[in-house]
Amino acid sequence: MEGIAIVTVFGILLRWGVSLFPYSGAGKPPMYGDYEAQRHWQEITMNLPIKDWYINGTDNDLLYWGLDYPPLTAYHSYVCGLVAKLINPAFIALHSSRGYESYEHKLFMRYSVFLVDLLVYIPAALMFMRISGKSKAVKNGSMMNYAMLMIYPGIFLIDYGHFQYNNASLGLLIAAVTAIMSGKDCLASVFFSLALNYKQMELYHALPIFFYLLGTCIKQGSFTGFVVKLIKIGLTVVLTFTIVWAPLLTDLDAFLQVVGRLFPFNRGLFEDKVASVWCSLSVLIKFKNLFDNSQMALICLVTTAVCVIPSSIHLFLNPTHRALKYALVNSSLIFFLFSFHVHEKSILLATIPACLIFTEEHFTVTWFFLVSNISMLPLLVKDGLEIPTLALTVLTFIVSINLGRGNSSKTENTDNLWNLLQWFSYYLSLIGLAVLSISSLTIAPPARYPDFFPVLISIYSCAHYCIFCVYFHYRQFKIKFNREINKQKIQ
Amino acid sequence: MYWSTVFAISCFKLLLLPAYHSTDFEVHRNWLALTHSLPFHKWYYENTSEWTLDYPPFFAWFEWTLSKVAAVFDVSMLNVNQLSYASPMTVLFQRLSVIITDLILAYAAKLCAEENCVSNKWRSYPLARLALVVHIFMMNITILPAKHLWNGQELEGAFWFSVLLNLKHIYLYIAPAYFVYLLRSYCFTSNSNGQCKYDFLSLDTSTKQVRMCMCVCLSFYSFDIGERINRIFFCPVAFYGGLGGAFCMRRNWQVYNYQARSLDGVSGRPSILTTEKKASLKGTLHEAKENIIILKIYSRMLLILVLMNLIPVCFLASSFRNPRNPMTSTDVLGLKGLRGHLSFWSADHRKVYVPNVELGLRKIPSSSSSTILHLLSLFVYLFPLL
Repeated sequence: MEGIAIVTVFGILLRWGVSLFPYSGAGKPPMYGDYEAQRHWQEITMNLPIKDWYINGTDNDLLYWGLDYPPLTAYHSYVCGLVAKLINPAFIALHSSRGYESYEHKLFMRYSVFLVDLLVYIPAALMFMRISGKSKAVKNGSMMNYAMLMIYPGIFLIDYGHFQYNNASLGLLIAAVTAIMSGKDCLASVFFSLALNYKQMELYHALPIFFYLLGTCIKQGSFTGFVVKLIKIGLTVVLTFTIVWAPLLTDLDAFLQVVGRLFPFNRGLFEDKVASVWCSLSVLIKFKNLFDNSQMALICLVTTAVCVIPSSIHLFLNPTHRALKYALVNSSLIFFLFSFHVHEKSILLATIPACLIFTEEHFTVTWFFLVSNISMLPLLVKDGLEIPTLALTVLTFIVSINLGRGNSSKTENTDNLWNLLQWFSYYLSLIGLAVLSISSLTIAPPARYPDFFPVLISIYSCAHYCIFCVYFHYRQFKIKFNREINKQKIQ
Repeated sequence: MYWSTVFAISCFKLLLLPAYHSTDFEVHRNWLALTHSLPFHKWYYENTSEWTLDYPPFFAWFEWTLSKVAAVFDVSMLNVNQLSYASPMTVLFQRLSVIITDLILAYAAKLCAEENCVSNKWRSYPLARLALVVHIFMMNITILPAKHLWNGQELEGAFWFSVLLNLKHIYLYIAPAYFVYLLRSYCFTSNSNGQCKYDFLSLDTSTKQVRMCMCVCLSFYSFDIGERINRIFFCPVAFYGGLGGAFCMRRNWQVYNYQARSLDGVSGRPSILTTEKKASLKGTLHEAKENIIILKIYSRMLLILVLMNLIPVCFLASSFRNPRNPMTSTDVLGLKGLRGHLSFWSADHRKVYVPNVELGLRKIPSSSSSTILHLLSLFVYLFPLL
């Protein structure tokens, strides 16, 4: 009990520590950054009617941080706007509040993220810990999973530092997984639909959830059982979507406009330097010159679909909780590596599910976390967050060493040559990370290649992600499948 | 596990980089500047800034060493005329210097805890308490002397204490206790009955005495005596501070002042005259108040009163009966620190560290309530300052 309290409070302390630092676009007119985007959405949702939120108009200039997340984000902004109005209407005054920055406003925004953490992310993580602690396989490790969920720095560097609300959608995802683990599939569908309606990036996780639920429907053992369950889940999803999208469904044009905003194909293959395969290969092959946007989008779609099939089919045939967790990581990694227009921040969609398998894959997941932190360094440096990034990466390393001591893992046995090789490559990789991060901060890049260090970091991270992807696929396929036990679990 | 905790806390401290920093930040920046740019015989005379150097010489040399590293971070901070200069690199350097010197504290705490066979979690206890506020106010305390005394290594203890005294004169509060302890355990010999005996004629005793004196005197060797000593001794004592102190402090003199105020109603005249605000040389603004009705306390009077307060503590019976018992010696040190703090002329919140640290070295009793009491008392003391 005290362990949980200490971990929670420490996690909260780290979050507030990061919030002392600047946010994205601080003091940088005219566009500022994501922080200003969130403030602007509060302004738009408070001052305009719902049907105008996604439509270009005199009061709503879509080129200045137009809404590009699904309606649940818009509703959340609206609620935040209501509170902002009570505190200081100048925060959200139409037009005149553009670029509004003050100490009170920063505090208000940080509190809004903290509130989401308190209401969504932390309870979901606690429930996950409680439910997973009941399974014999991870009984002792559920606390470790919870600790990593709280302490993994990526999420709060982005949420409290750069400024976003990833904790809402990821918290809902964890809630969905928890609901699945306690056998409540309909509730899980509700949670996941809400997560998807909060950020469309949750599509990265949609396939595993879909195949898992379909697999459990098939495993009902009879045709009626299959149909009943399918209809139950289907209805739940449709109902959730309808409720969330209701205000926007009145007009087909408005609806299409929203969809267009959510999936901006005109933005290009990648923005900035991201650790995806396409960006890394672009150093050698200039995709932008060979294909146009729609062709490239098609290539990405096909590649992603082909790569995600093995893990999805395995999950469909073996819909166990363990396979689901691995499939979530695998699917999100594949999408991150191969899909169209990926952000560096999207790696969170892979690392948070990885927290859920921390007990089983302590060594690899720690490695994954450290690489993911540094892969976001170029983005965070722009926000003035280089010190928290480095400090928290070191902290993750220290915490994971100590957590690992209690966990008897095969990889700790160094008699085996293979294990020796693993540890050697691990430490070599960490040295590489340290060298890259420090040199990117201290050495000026050559004049001809101003993006030298971000590209180097992206390629380095991408190589690691590919290796992790292969490894996690291997581990998923190795899960021992016991038909008897699983039949009991599902019923 | 211990060092993991230390480094984890250090990582957390890095997150506090942009947090509030007090005037002490500017104090230390100024000292870095003047030790870097001026020859050492001018260090104690430089007064471009209001925060003149008022710590003993060793601390000045320590600042000089730091200034060599500071030059790499941001040379502009070392300009004496750049008052209140706080560029990001300056903040980074100052915070990093505190974090790194904290590691010395961590090392000493570990040694003490090991000597004392305290369980693992309590090793981090002094650290955890001190980490946050030490970091914000930029102070460092070493507890090496106490550790050496526990080991029975009186000479090393004496040496480290002299070093300590020359780093911060605040340790004058506990100097008499150290002196008496050393005298008793090193110079006096006890026979099998436990009785103490001072053998004037023994060669052994006198060599020991000489060695001890040398340790203590070593520390004053870095500067010429005479005018410098005058300056060094009387700057820090901050006689302008006034008895009241800047904040509400639970000390004897506060009670005294309240008594004076209470006479207001009786006499019909204001009992306390507020003279103009003077910046004390330690950096906090006090209102210099003078009592008119009841006895006005003069500085010399105060010194005598302080000494009288400290003497009973010095000669606590246990100090004489069990010289080798480290527990009681730290109790004595703690008590002494507290009494010094309570009765001295001008003290501020940071000085409560000394007794707190010394008390912290005691074996923490297993009951959690005493821990909570300890933490609460620290919090209550520090809160007004925060």
